[in-house]
Amino acid sequence: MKNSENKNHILLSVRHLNKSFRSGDAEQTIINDLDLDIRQGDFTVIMGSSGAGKSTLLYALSGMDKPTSGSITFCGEDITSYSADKLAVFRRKHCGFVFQQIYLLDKMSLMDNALTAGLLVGGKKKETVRRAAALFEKVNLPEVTWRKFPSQISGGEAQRAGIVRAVINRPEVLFADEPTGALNSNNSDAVLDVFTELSRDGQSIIMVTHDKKSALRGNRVIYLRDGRIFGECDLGEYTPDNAARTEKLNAFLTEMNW
Amino acid sequence: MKQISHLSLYFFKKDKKQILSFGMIILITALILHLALVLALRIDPTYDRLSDELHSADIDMVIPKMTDSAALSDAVRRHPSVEQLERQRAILQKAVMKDFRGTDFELNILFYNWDDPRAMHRLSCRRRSEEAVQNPIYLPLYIAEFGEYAPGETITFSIGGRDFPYTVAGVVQEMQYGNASAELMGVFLPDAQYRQLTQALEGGEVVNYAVRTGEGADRQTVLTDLRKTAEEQQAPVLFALTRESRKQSRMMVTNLLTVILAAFAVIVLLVSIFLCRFRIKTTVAEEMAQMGVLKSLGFTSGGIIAAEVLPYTAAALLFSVLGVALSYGLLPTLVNVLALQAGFRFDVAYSPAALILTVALLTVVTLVFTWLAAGRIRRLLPIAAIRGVTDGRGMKKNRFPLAKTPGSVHFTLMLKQMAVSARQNVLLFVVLFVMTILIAFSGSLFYNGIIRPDHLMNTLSDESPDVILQVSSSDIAGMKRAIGSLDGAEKVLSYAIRQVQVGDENAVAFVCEDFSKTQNDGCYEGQNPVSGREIAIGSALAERLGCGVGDTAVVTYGDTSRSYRIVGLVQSVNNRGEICELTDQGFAALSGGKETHSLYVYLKNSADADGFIEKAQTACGGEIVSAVNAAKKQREAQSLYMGIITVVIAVIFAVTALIVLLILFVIIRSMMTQCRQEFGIYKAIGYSGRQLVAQTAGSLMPVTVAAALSSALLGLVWLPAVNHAIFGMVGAMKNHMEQPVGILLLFVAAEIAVTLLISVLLARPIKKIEAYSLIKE
Ligand SMILES: Nc1ncnc2c1ncn2[C@@H]1O[C@H](COP(=O)(O)OP(=O)(O)OP(=O)(O)O)[C@@H](O)[C@H]1O
Ligand SMILES: [Mg+2]
Repeated sequence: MKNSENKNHILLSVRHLNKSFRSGDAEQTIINDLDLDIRQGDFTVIMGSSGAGKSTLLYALSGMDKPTSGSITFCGEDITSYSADKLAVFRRKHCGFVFQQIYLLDKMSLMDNALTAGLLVGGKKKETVRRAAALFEKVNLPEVTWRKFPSQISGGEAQRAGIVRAVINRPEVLFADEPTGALNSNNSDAVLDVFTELSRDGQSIIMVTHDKKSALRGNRVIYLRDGRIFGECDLGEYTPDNAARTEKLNAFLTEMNW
Repeated sequence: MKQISHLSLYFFKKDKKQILSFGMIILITALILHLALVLALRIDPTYDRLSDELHSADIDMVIPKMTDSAALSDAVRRHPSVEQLERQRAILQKAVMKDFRGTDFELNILFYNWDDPRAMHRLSCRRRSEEAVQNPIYLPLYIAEFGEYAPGETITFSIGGRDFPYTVAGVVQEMQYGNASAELMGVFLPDAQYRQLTQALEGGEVVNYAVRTGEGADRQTVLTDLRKTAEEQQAPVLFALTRESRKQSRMMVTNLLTVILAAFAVIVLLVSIFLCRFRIKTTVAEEMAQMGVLKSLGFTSGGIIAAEVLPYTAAALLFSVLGVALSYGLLPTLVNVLALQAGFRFDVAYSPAALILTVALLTVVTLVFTWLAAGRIRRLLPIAAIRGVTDGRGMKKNRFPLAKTPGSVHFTLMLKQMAVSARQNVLLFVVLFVMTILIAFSGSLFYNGIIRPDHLMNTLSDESPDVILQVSSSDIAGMKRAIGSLDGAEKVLSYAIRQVQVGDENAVAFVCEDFSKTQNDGCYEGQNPVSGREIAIGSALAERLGCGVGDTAVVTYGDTSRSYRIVGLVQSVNNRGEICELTDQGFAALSGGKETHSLYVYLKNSADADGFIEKAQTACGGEIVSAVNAAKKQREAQSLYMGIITVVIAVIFAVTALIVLLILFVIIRSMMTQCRQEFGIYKAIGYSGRQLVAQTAGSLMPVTVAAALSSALLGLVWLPAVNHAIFGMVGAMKNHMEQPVGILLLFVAAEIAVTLLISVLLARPIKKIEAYSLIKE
């Protein structure tokens, strides 16, 4: 798999990133001269207080939003100068997204949701359909479910379908913004298990979360404050019920004043 | 109440632009409807009022002066229905008006004495020359305005080869004759000029019996009685008119236009009904959660419905008033054009009835249809609304599954988008279907009036050669040969037009040596006469005489009468079906064969008619009395028609494009509010703005194409019927119009292309919807 090759390869590199919003006369700087490197295969977790700019950073990294200044190099391409349409083409190949609000297309079945993304990049239709079916199986959605419409399924099922749609094109990076934020505990676990499994397969993931349980799934935790990286913690590979990792994270978050 | 008005204001603010485009369509509807109503309600009464003011007679009968007698006038007066009789002397001549709107125009002219006192058919002078003029003449409005003779200018009548020039001293409004389709027109000479003309012409003196009948008398029956009376007194009736026949010919174009405008208004009204239904239903779907909340807050369904309906009804009221106001801006121009043709002026009077009817109809229709469409709110349970199980119906089935549908993903998504928008498809289908009715109509007009103008011209005009030669030689056959052998001539026919009587009716007789050689065959039933005992008669005659093919008809010319076997029915728009066709031998038996006929010359190249006339004059100059370039006249008439048709087509296309624009605006706007989030998701997945614009515009196309094509193909069925009805109204039983599939498809293709272009332009703002902004919401 292309994702598991040379683990220390830098996939995404950010230099002097700035993002500010203008509301009325006042200009508010959210991301302030931020530098960051994301390595291939990492499961990176971004944490920080509400309003710290986590989502803003995530969407800047993925080319959904344009930074005010600075550069983002993604797979060797500087995407900051891309036009909106070029960014769209870039996203469909290299980025997958999972959102808190899930955002499935509600006028089509779960399978078609996945294929809407999957067929966009070309390739054999049969193969794409087979891959989608395999992914649905992997996230524990049987055929009776993926034939349904988004309005007919539970939140957890919807989010897992969202993940299938996000990874169907084998993106370099899977971006997730509080993917479990709207889910109850059982559903959360099921979704997080999917993330863990994908990460084990070598998928690079960047996830924003508020939730310690979710954060434990990652191997690298970044803490954001005042638009900069305030602290960073290497947790090592996830294993279930690992008390040492839990303690390490607790200590880090205490240090960060969380 | 206050709550409802708040809610109403909310709905209005949310849908401002869409309500505005609904208003624009209402405005167009009101404009057209009001024009139609004003024409229908005002012009007819104006005609009658003017007729009454000028003491117009109910029946006019022209008889030769020699046959007029006290016995006849007494007999007429004795008829129980006759209330008043006035005998008006005049000179009747077939005259060519020179430079009538740029060409020579031949018509039967009655020269009246301006100084004779008149109790009936009074004249009201509308415009007068500033100074006293030499050789004055007073012209009726129609000749002055349509023929373009202003006071102070010269008008020349050519009678039997002699020119009689006069200076226009004034223009009068008269309600006696009217326009060119009334084959007869009166002009007015002061006493001195009248005497001079009488002396110069010797003959042609006639008396017009102007008769006023009592209330409720059937004028056609009275006229038939009076004709009999005249016959008993040995007085041939040269021309006869009733108030009705006069009115019909003068109001023809106005009535035709009223019908067309009314049809147009109905079509646009249909569009606006479907539009407001669509908007209300969409709003209900969009605001489902809102409605639930409102209901849970204790709003009644009736209250919510009222709040929804109110902005649309208010818009209908406001914009229909604006449309009416705007139509007053257009009315003067329209009325001028119609007046030119009808031969009388009507004022653009304010018509409260038309105003109230227009505004009330549009407002009530909007109210009723929005109310019905909003009825769904009643059936809505608060919980269902809040949960947002909105359009559960259309979503049970996954239409066009991506895994199974062949073709690109973009195409399939386009089909998917189309499949889930039933409401919008219905609206789009209805609008394009009805607008294509107009497009198909204009396509038919374009083909028959511009690509093949002969279709329209042949339907509306009589036989028209390239050159008409009046010859003095008694050796017609020799002249024919001589002219026919000239360079450029294709064929020569001997042809004559005479005033005869068929039964009791006056008619124009077309006399030709061989009707099979003519170019414009007006025969719509049976065949043209071939032998000397055969005749074909016009539609109006057939109707009035109650006879058809196989019957016999008695034709009177001068003192001679003869009976003929009817072998066919022929039409003539110019003479309102009051015609007949006779062969050369057939007519010679009536006339004694002494009369010389004209020569109708058909050229290989009709553009060279002037050159040919010169050639003919050098070749046999002494024998040619007059030569008319009929091709030029025909071309001018044709270019007039073409101009009108071009304007009509342009107006139809402009109105269609405007309506399609407004409808698509509403549809795409609704789509963008409803699917805003969806577009954001597509963008996040990696769909580019351009792809989404194409997908959205494309999802409208299958319905557009289906509606336009089915309507156009249906047009092949109804267009002949409509043409038959329209031309039937002006007396053409048979028309030469064809429905070319190619042109129809071309017009429909243009319509579809315009629709696609507008959709793409309107969908462009989708590009601005950002994936990111979606997530921020
Ligand atoms: N379009 C915008 N215009 C103005 N300000 C914005 C805009 N988007 C975000 N902000 C501001 O930027 C700041 C960071 O927002 P962001 O959504 O990145 O925070 P976050 O860290 O994701 O918070 P949360 O944990 O609550 O999701 C906030 O103060 C927000 O008000
Ligand atoms: Mg956030």
